[in-house]
Amino acid sequence: MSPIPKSDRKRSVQRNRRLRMAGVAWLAVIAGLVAVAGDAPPPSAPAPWPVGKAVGAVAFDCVVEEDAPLAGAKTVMFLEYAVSPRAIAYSIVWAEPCWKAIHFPCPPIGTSLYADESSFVVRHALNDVEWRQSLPAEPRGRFMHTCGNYPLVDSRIAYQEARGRRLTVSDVPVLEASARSGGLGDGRGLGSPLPDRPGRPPTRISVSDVEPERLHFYFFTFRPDDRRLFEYRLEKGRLKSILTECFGVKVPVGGFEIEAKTPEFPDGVVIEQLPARYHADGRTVLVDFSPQSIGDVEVDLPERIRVGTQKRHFGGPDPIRRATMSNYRSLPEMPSAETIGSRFTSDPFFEREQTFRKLTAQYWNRPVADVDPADAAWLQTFADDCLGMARAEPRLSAKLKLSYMSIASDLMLGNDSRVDSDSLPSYLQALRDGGFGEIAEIASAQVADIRANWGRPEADSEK
Amino acid sequence: MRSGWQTVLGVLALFVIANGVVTMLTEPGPGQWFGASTAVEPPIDPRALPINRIGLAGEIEADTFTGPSLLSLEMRENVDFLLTPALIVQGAITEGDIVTYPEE
Repeated sequence: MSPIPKSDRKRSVQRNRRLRMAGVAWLAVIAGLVAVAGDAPPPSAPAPWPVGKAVGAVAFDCVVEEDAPLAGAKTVMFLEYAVSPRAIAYSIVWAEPCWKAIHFPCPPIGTSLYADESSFVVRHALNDVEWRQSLPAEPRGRFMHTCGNYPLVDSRIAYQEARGRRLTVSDVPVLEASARSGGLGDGRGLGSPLPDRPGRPPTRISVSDVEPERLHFYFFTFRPDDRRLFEYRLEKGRLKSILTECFGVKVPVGGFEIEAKTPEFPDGVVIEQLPARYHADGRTVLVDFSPQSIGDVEVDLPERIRVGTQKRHFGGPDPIRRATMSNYRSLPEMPSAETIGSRFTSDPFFEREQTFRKLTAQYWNRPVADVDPADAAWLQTFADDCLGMARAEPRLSAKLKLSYMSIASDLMLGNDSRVDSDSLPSYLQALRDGGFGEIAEIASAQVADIRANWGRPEADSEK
Repeated sequence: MRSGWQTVLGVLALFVIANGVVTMLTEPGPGQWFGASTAVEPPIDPRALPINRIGLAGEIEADTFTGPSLLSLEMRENVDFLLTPALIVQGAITEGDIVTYPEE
């Protein structure tokens, strides 16, 4: 086929452009005629609000990648979730880079969380500790920082707030009325007030567009500058994505006042912290959904969540957070507040893992000569077994965990040649193959640093 | 002299143009959805604060907010995000719930 001459292409493009412009102009005129002639709100078809389907409890796996630019930390966590209409639960089965402290309020591996309407429980099965709180909790109020930390159990307030803000079918009449008014609401302020509900802050909603394949609305909570915009994309009635954007959020921070006298204010001055402006560059989120079969029912479930900012777009190479869900399955029995964490303790390998942890606490960063011969024999067998199991393990999280235990055991035994020739390259390659090249680089640097400083007390304190 | 139809069409054209301008001004455009937010923080009215609080509060703001507070807020955001997959799925498997994104 011969190429179209440039002059013909130009004419063709101009003709097409004129045709498109004429089409748009006619559409605009027709729309104007309809709007003027009717002098009424735009007609609205039944809105395709995506409503949940009863499929019982489900379980799924999830990989969460998080960046903490202020702390200079990147983390990837492997979790297992269990969700029912009444409760949620998760367990963190592995996290990387695992060679030094992981940026998390507590050692993440072995942490489980359970929440329902009346209780919020965090349990660390490996360390055998538990934090239990009843719900509803007091509102968060002023955010009390704890030197860069955040107690995991304080997540109950985020859980409670999120539950309070959710939409239900009982809100649909307000949503539909808002759509009919073009989002303008009842004339007493922008948007329409949502019905009062326990836990829900005073909220107004403005539905500006309802189309068969697109819903567009925004919430106002507390103040107009707290608004969050939503855009749903649907295809043949199935939910494909939710795009949502929030702007700067003010969080009252601190909790102290200091009385002082200064030359400038000899009568005294109260120094108090102003509310911090957080999320100053906003958060833009895209959630992709895909149909999943749970039992006999097909339900649209999230397969990827990407959180970005103005500078770090969610579709770019480095959004600030990313969650990838997989392996959705029906769950015969939802874990309870009493049974969460049992997936760790009921593992047949659990006893050996606990022995490994005990020996690691004893011999990490110590000269090989310090290792008791009986313990050295146990560690040697354990390292061999872990390496063999890691090679055969298809799940990335389990492969990384087994590789870690093999490498760590070999480091304590001084088996440098096997670490260099086999276990460490395989471990790093598994990370790269999983799409975590940057984490592999960090882990590699951490291992190199540990080996370079082996036996020095200051290196020990970082483990 | 213009006919009645010409006048009607003229009014309609003006309406269409005005409609387009209003839509452009009120709808969030692609740039806004994809990060170029034009949201403007309402300014703090200095008259609303006691006069002797303004200066020092402003001065300490930079020190205190770039320190542990922001680190804690960053940690909070990442920790609370772990609830997000579960809360979205819970909306999708609960009869009567509309699937939505929980703010973390």
